[in-house]
Amino acid sequence: MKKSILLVFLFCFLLSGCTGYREIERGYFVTAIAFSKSGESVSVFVEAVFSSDVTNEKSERVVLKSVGNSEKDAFESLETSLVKPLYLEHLGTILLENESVENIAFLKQINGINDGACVVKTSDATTLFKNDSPSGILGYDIVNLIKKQNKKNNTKTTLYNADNSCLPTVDFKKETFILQWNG
Amino acid sequence: MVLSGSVNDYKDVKLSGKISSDIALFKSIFSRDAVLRTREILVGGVTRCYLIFMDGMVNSASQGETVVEALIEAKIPAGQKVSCEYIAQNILFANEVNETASLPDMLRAILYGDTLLIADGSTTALTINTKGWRTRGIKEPDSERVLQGPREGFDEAAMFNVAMIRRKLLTPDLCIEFMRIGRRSDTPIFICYLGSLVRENMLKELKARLEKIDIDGILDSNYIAECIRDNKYSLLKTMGSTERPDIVAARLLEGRIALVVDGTPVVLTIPYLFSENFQSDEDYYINFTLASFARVLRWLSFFITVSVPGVFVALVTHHFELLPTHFALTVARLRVGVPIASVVECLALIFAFEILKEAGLRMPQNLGHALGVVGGLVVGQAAVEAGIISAPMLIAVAFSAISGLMIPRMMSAIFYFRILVVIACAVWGLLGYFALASVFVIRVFSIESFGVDYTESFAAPRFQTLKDSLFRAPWNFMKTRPIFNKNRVRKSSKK
Repeated sequence: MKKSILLVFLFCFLLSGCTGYREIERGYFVTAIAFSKSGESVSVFVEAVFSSDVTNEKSERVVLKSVGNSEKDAFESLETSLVKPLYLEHLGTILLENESVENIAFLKQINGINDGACVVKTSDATTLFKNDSPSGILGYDIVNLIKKQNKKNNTKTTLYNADNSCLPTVDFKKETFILQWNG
Repeated sequence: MVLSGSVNDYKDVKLSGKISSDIALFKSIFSRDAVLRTREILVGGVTRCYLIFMDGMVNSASQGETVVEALIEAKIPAGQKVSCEYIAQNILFANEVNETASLPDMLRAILYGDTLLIADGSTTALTINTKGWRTRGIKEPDSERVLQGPREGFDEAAMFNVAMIRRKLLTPDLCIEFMRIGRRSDTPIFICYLGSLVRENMLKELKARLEKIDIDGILDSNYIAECIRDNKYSLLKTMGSTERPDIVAARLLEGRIALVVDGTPVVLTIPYLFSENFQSDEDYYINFTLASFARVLRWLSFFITVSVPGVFVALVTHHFELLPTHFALTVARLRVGVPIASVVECLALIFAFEILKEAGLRMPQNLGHALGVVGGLVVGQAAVEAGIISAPMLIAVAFSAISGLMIPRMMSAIFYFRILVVIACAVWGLLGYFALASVFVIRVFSIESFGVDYTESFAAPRFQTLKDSLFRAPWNFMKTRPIFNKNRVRKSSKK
């Protein structure tokens, strides 16, 4: 009896093959994702941070772009084109252009996406990554803004599963981000 | 005759009563022993006697005064037959003299520092207590130092060790039984317990297990522990050990049984409970608040030392989402350039620490300190700067290693637990950690020590069961003894 239990554990151990084992430094920490629709094609923009040198005091920021037939397709083609994997666990913000906002269910099709990420609307996602944010990492600056706004207005953050009507809008055309709350 | 090497090989041999052939018998048995000494004395001018003893094991002064001088100066009435019985009753001054006809007993006496007297015409012999070998003396044991409390420790002579226990418990209730184990070493063992407290079936079980031991020699109490303990292959101790008479006395007062083995200062005690791993000798000699705090810290340290490296590996290889973002980015940045995987890095550091610890233990004390500085600071820092290991992993393993030092009684087990946890966490992440923790808890709760549940205090947690396990309650709250006692009432509630 004891031997069989031991064997079951051993088999599980050997067959699992360290499933899900990743090295923390060997990937991009995604901080923001933006989706933009133009006609039939969808563009995905990913803001990520990574470390290339231990002597750097701060992690480096990078913006990655890919195009596909759908949001999922665009995201998957971006993932396959990269040498390093994308780590979505620390994703702060998901930016959607107005067309994408109409159907945010596609987000559920992207594996590993952080349920706690803030979903916000923007008029033009393509200009998103051209702007310099206060801390240098746009995804987290938007999260901080939303948190401040929430505190001030005594409202709750609009999260991944939020109703479309509650999504805040980010206006990047102005010098600083301004969150405008719909509804 | 095929000899097994035991004195029992000679159990069928008897003394002939002819002194020349009897002394020849002993000389033939010890024909290749250069330290056997014989001394012929003519008692009363008529009866030839021989004293047989081992050089270096007898107290020569005592032997000279109480045996040799007495025999030489003995005045025997005319017509009196000089038998062993007569010599014992009328001539010898020695305080312990026994007459025996058994050759194994005679051989044991010679080998254990007694003087054997054989007389012409007697088929029996006298064993005279003249033991007098040198001992190390009473010193504080290095492994169980205390800041407050008694400083005496056992030495290698079992008889003196028993006397030290006796001095702590001046009661006729203290029972001391004697037996010998070891085919060739024939090592004396003393079983000590308080008759009114010990559970009879536990004592019976212990004796049965001791009788089953078939081994050439017992050179340390661990030989016995490995032969008779429950769960022989478990990493967890199921028999207690100590070098301090005060600890043995305290355990006897709780209804436990102590095994004093000749030739070692380590005394075994049974049963041994899981909570004893977290007790310190000093807990009872300092204020109960401090002792309780220290005990809670030890439980916490056990959790930390076993879990921290593994959980850290799980977090940085499986569960980034559980780390604060900035911390995750810092760990990632500090791991850039490290050529080995996190799990290998962790295991390598654990092994490196064990190597340093082992090297430090076997070295002279001054060199040990130097080794600590070289190993801890120079090698550690240099390895981080060279990019061979990352600083966060070094901190996690070092913190775990330091926490492990809080529980010296589990040190060897902790090393294996730590390794298992790291591997499980690397393979299955936190799922592996919790799976292993569940297996550990189930295992610990299934262990027994001589018929007593290993986790006796936690099986039915109440104040009286936890009062001396999770924390140390003041003495006036210690109203009952542990559950394995025959008589559980320690203190009447009226007083």
